[in-house]
Amino acid sequence: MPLKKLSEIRLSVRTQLNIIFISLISLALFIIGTLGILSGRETQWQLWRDRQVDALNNVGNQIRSVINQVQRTLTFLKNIRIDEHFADLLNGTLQASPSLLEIALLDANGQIIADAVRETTAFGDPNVIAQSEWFEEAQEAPEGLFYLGELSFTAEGLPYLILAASMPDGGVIAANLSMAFVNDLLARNRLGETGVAYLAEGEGELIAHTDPSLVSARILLLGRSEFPATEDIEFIGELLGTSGNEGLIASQYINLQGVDVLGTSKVIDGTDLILFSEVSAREINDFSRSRLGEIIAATVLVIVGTIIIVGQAVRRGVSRPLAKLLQGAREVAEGNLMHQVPISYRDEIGEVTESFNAMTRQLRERTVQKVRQDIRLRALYEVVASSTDVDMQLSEALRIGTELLGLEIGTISHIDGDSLTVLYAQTPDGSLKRGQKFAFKQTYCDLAYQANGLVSIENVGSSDYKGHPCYTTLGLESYIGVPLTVGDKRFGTLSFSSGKPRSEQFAAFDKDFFLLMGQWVSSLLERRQSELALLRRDAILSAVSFTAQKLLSSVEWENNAEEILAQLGKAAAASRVYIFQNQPTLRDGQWFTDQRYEWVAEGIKPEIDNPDLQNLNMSAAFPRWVAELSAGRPISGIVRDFDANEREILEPQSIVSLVVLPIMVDGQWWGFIGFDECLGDRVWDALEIDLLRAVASDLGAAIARQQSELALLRRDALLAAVSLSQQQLLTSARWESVLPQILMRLGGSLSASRAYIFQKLPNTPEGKTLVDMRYEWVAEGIEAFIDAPDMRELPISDIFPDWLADFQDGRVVSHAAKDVEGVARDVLDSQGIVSLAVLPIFVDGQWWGLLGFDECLGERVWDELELELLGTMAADLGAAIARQNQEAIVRESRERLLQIANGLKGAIYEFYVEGDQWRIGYISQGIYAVSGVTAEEVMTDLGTLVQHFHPQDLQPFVDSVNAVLIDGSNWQFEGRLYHRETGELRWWRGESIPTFTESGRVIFKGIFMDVTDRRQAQEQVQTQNEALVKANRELAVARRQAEVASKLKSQFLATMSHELRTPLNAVIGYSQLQLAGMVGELNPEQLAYQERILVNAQHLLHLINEVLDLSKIEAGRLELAEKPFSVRACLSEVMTQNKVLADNKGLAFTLEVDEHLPETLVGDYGRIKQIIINLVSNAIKFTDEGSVAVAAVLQDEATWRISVTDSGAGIPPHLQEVIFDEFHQAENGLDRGGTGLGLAIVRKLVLMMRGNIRLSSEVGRGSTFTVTLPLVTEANKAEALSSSIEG
Amino acid sequence: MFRTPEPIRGDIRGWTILIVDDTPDNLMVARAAMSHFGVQVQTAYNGEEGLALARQIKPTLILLDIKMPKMTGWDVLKVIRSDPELAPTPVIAITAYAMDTDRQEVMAAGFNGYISKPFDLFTFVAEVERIALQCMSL
Repeated sequence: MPLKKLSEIRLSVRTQLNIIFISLISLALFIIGTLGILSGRETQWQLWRDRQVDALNNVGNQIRSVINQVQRTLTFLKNIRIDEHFADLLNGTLQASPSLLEIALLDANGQIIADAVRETTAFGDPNVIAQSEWFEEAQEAPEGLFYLGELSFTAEGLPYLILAASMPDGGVIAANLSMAFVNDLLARNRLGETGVAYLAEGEGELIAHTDPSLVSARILLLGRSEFPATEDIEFIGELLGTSGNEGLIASQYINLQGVDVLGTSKVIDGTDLILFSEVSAREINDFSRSRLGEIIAATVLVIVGTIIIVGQAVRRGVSRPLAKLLQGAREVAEGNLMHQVPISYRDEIGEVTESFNAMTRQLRERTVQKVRQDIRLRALYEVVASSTDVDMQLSEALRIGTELLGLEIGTISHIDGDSLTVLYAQTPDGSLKRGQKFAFKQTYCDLAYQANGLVSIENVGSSDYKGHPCYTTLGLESYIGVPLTVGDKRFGTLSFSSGKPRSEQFAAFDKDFFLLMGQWVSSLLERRQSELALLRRDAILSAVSFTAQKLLSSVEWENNAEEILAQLGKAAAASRVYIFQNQPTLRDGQWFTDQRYEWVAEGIKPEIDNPDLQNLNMSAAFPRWVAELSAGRPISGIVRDFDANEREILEPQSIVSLVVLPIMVDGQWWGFIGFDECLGDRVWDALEIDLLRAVASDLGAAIARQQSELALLRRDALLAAVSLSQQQLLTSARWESVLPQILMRLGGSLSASRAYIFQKLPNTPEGKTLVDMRYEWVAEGIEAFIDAPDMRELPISDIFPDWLADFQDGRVVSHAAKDVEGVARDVLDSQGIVSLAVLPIFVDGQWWGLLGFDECLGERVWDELELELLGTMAADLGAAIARQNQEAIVRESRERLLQIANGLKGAIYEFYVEGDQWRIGYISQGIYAVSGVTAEEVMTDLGTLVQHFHPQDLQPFVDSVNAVLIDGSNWQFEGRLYHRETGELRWWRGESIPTFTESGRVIFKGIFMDVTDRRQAQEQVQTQNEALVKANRELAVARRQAEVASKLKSQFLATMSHELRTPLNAVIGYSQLQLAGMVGELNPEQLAYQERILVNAQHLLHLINEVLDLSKIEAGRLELAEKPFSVRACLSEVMTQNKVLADNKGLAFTLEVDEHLPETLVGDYGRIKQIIINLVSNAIKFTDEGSVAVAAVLQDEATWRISVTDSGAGIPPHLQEVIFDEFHQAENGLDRGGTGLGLAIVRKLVLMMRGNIRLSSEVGRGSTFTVTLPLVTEANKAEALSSSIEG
Repeated sequence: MFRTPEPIRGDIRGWTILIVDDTPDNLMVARAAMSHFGVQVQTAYNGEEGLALARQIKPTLILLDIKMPKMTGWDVLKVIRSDPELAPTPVIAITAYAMDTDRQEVMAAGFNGYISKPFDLFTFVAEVERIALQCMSL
């Protein structure tokens, strides 16, 4: 170490000079000593005291400096962040500070947070600490001040003091400072032979002493004369850091050891520690006497030696060095900054020379630094200027940095959590790669950055970081690093390093440059980040518009799905993009979803075939996502922050971060589009997410559009199916034969699971409504129920009571099974029906049955148009059934006619079709009359007849026969032929019911007749019929309108009735009030008028009731009760009610009841009574004198009758027919005050009861109305109600 | 030709009966007849007014017209039956709907009785009393 050596030389030079100085001093001493002895003890004492003061100041300063050192240590520790490495730091600090016994960090309650202990702890017991005085005082110490005090002794008896500072949180950082070192100090600074020195604290306790045994004895100084009173000790409480004091006290006294001493004491600056230095009075006195001779001798020797040495020294130490210095100055002036002037052993001007050399070195270093800085700044500037490419600038910066700093490795790294990613690297061998990741203990490795803003280690091996993984991982031996910040946040580190230790220290200049470079790199990184974000947004934006365009220009979004995903994935620089579609129905309230499309970046594993992503239960796996996505909100984030259940699915797909956006279709959550990042953390910024949301929303709109188009297509299909079915129903003779096709067609076009027809059965005696399943069509995979016994006589009134009313009123029932409750729900569930639509079929205004459609695969909402179309279908079906019923009746009568066909103008025939062969079996003679061809001729060759057919009819004729062969319907054909004899064009009609034999032969038996007359008459009708067939759709509309009209009519009648009754109530009420005398007495005339008002009002009411009855009957809305009643009671009530009327006219009014007539019959009591009353009141009305007789007779086992006979005017024959028509009285001037509706109602009621009414009358003799009714009793109810009375 | 009042038990005397009908004439007729038999009659011209009055006076029974503008008799009945205080009050429908099905509909809706308009004043009073007593004995 040249520097040390130099100082030694300097010392030796100084010694030489000191010799002169000492000689002079010796001389002085000699004189002073002599004078002292002469001048007495006072002067001597003064000298000793000065020495004591020097010694005390020296010791005091050293103690103070130790305390200051500890203070600095505590201040440092106080500002360090407390983490898992804090304890390490504490330990390190303790090891580095030999005077400290223990360092501890205590919380506000005195609990130890961290503790570094050398041997034994003094802060062991938190309770003691919390209650101790020092802890309280330390806690209260203001910032910057320290507590010092509490003298304690270790187990070995070593004294120590506690030094402590308060923490901002109320805690305390404290250190135990050993006072052992003071003993050494004192020993070194004691004076003379007898001198002692010691240290005590303010309360008199001895801390250290040149004789340590006294310390162990724990002697207390307080109270002794040399120990100052407490108030004399100038210290600021027990807190350090304020200005010191000069308090020095000197006096003569008998000390601790009983010696008479001269003693000086001093309070150490800013403490309450007091130092003492004592010398015995005897020594002082001896010294002055014994040393006088010695002083004189020494003085003489010194003077002689000095004279010799000085001569030598001046020559070697001054003249030669001056010459060298001069030469050195010349060299430097010539620019040789490397020159150093040598300094020899005896150099007397060594300090001057050394200063000169130092000046030269400094000049050299400044020059070098200036040059280097210029180079570096120019290099950096060139980097900035050379390119706008941030990537290139950063790489270049690293290259230049390594070159300029002479380190091989340069890196710019990004720190995130516990990992460090290399962003840019400059290495000699390329061993570090961009993107490489390292575990990073920020809390420890980064601690130094936080403290200094820069870390520089010239030699890791000899630094505190020796062996630390921060450096050993890469085998670094020298290192300089600076933290990088982007957007006010710690971003990472810029560092240069080398595998070799560095020989010279990093200069302050290097560090400054390096900090500057750190700032510059930070700003470049910031620019790079915002540029990247902008670029990516641009790319996403263009992908979004691409997507929107694609979706708009395409009918099916699926066609473009993959292309769109690829575009989006590349634009967003994502690893993976995908679309999931939710299953349309929730299962047990849970969402299930399937992956539909996926795009992956190169090198990323596709997941499209991952079975876990099909049929994925979203509600179970991602409940949080379901809540967000279904509400239209996106999900984004870093996967490791997600819930465990989510990570379980995401992590195996190596997803690091993702964003998922819901696709909403018509406001419903349809599915989602997601973007995965597998390569690193990525935070999707709000703008990116907004842009991607736009994509999701476009997708949703496209899907919605496509779905509504599909719905339209389905409607079209349904429309076509309905229209075709209507056509088929109209052209087919048997609806049963086409129904399977119709059900299949409708079911298919609706994509329903099942289509079926139920037919209503007659009600059971208990009034239950039963239905039978007649036809069924099921989709593939759906269970058929047509053969299930449950579908026979299904008691619909028990199972679906609510629906029954709807059916009867002609309303469609459409439900989701989950909305249905009770038995109905059980039945639906047992058939696997999820939702259904059932439409009633009405035949001739009667509820006939049901047309229904089931959906077993999922919930379905039947839209109104569908239901309307199906309603049309049900109506057409009803019409077809009605028509066929009519045709069946016609056919029956024809069969009867056939029996007498031979007597008619026509022929009976039988002919067979077997394959292509048509053969006539038989034809009756009547064919001759029709065609002019004889039966024999026809039977020989059918062609003899067929050749006379009108040519245009030939093909239709053949077709009609073929059609029968195909669908099994009955054959009917009307055609024209030219009569062989007369040449006349005649219309003929052929009809037959084909029989299909097992051998495949079809036998046509039927009639062939001349229908020319009828045909001509009906031609016009025929034309109309054809038009009707063509206009089937209008018919359906018209039918619906008619139904509405009928409903309106009923509604109108109900309203009319209501509106008429309301005022009538007032009329009747007021007249009754007056008639009852409630408003005072009336005079006879008023009474009579009021009576007329009342009678007329009641007549009006009667009329209203009858009109209502009649319209109800006509509308088929009147239902007859079938309940047991007493005939006799009924008759006698009628008699009682009419007796007054008969009596008023003086008529005999009698009743006769056959005794065989059963007491109780079954029927509608009210309506039967109405019939009788009508007849009786009519009879009384039209009979002026004589009698009215009522009789009830049992006619036979099946019928009974009521007759009302009067002796009135009688009815002329021509009126007997019309009398039962409505309002006949008005037309025929027969009004006698009746409504004219009575008989019409009577007849309709009687007919409804399957009875009849007859009138026998002779003008002038009277009339008899006889009503014959089926005899219905409880016993024969079932059969009687189905029969009717002939005639 | 008219009948004398049918004998009534006389329990009706002293009752408070609320009649709700939008036809003033019918209200007047019913009120006159009822008053004659010593009934405290309160009247209302529409459903809302009727409900308010019913809550206020707590009538012995309510005679309610079905066809009224805005709030129909059906609506009023529903409110009465859902009001814990009014629910037990017998309510008789007085309506000009006179079809067979109307009676069934009325009874099914929860009315305690049905009297069709036009009514005979005396049978009306007797019928009201009969239905009310029947309700009260239940």
